[in-house]
Amino acid sequence: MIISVGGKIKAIVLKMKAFILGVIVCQAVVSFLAVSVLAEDTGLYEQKLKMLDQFLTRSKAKAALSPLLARLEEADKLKSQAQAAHKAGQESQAVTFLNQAIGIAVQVAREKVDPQDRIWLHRARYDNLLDTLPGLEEAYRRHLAKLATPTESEKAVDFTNLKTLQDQAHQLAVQGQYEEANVSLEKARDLLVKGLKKLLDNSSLIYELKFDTPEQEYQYERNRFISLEALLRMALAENPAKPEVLETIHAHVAQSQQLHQQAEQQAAQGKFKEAVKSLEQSNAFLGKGLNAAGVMISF
Amino acid sequence: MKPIIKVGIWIMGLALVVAVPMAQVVAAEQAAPANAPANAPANANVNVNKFNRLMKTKEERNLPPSQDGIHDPAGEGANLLQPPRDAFGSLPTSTSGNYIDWVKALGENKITPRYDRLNPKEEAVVFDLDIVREVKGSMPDVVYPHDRHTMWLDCSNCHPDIFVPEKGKNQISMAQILMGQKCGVCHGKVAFPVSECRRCHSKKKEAAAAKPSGGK
Amino acid sequence: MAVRRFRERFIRYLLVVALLAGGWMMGWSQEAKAEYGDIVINNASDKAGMRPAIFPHWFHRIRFRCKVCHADLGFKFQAGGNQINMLKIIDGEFCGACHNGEIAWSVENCDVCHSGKPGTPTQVHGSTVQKLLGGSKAAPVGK
Repeated sequence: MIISVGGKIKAIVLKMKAFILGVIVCQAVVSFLAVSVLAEDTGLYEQKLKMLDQFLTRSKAKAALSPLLARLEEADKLKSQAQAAHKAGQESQAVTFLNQAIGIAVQVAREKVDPQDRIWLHRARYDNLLDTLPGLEEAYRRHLAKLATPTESEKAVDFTNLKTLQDQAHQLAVQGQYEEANVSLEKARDLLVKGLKKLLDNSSLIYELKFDTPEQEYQYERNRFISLEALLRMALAENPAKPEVLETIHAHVAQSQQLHQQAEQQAAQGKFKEAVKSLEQSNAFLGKGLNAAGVMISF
Repeated sequence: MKPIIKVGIWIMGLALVVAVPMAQVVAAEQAAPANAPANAPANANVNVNKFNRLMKTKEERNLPPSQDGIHDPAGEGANLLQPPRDAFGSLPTSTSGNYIDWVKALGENKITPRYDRLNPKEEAVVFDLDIVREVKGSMPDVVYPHDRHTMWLDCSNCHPDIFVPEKGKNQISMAQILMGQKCGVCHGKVAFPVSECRRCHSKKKEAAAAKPSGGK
Repeated sequence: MAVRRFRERFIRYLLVVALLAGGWMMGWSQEAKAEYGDIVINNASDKAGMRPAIFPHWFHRIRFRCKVCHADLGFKFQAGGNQINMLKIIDGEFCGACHNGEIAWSVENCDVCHSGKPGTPTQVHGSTVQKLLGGSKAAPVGK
């Protein structure tokens, strides 16, 4: 540090000190405000108190006539302790008590006091499985039927066994025993999946594009048209194009709109083959538009 | 004034500027209720993808106060939440969505998500069947791989509510996907979005059989 | 002199930096950075005076496969389409199947879930549908 003139240095140092002092004062003011905001957590206390009341009501209802009721009395005690702490202004203590009380209420609520409570979980799974099994079975049968001479391992699924499992599950479900019903249904599902894997694992199924009527093809092309328009809109939204490029795109879109209208007219007259051709050309222009927008789909 | 004194004043000033707000924060924590889950893990070199990130296991509870890490400067829940970048540190990247290639991450065992809620050892039932959907135009055909999906999902998630498990029974168009139907139920919401054309349109048509977009 | 002016400016810059650093250390509250796939659930939160809940798919995806919640626990593929409330959660339904103090932390940590900006509508954050219908940029979280 080069000392030029003592007086000038003193001035600088003084300025520095003043600046630092000013900064500290500002910090103090701002942090004081922050602390007062943070201390405003009575909102949190009240919310938790409200929630605790709800939980306690629920837990008490479930724990009626049960030894767990004693635990809930503990929770009540904690609640009154929390209220006392809140009155005394000890916010953090109050909330800690509330947290503990909530913990107890939650534990009690989760105890298997009422088996009915657990049904929802198993019911959800049961409904899911019931929904999906027929589709899987049908798919399996279809693919099995395609084989001229299925081997023993390919006929892995014993359909009588399958039916038995499903009936078992149904019986249990009507009685409300969804958990046990699920065990049977899962077995049935595993059977079907094993069968399907035997037939189809490591293979590819090709869904060729085949149209039974020109009208179907026209519908397909219409869907393509709507799709390409939506894609173009999205592409432009994600990557806005420069004005010159936008002009080109608009030109392509205009052409495609024209051809689209032409196609609609032809379709209205029942000339579906021509309509398909027009739409194909219209889609080609949308493809060009997409290319210009940066999405390479048309070659 | 001697340079060393000036430097000294300098440093003191800076230290005050830094220390005062820190003191305020510490005071504020002790005044404000700590919203931290009561058992925040203490060790600094904990695995970022530790299964129970915020909740301590039995072994980690009831540590002496000096080690329990309970005095966190947490005011709001949002400050507790893990920034995604911390968790994504070592995962393979992708070019959209979360910018993470989740399938690759699973394949390389960088993540080990459970297949069963309670049993971490249960293995997924993987079904290896590819469905190739031919499309009109010059875009490559779509290949739908069951294996990658069944590593994450159950049959019932898609069949039959979203996709009928039969050829010819599912009309799928890009417009539907963009609007959140069919493939779009997941792709574009929680799985990679449709900006990744080639991830689905991955099977080039053979030159002879290619249908030029100008029509047959 | 030039050196003195430079020093003054340098000092000033450093102090500004220190001021900013101090402010940051006071914990200017940052919002949860919403990730792609975050689900904002605001069916009843606004009415109850709570911040809306935000469910982060990425965090849960690292720990569970899709099947566990969507096939085993009955969550539908629809933001806001599951009738979830706090009572169901302590009963062990939906979120409560894991957030019960055993598999994961329990419900007294309100703000860790309820961390959204008040008024944010139920949505799948950053989804294609949202972008298509909400304009060119993803709809900002909150008003």
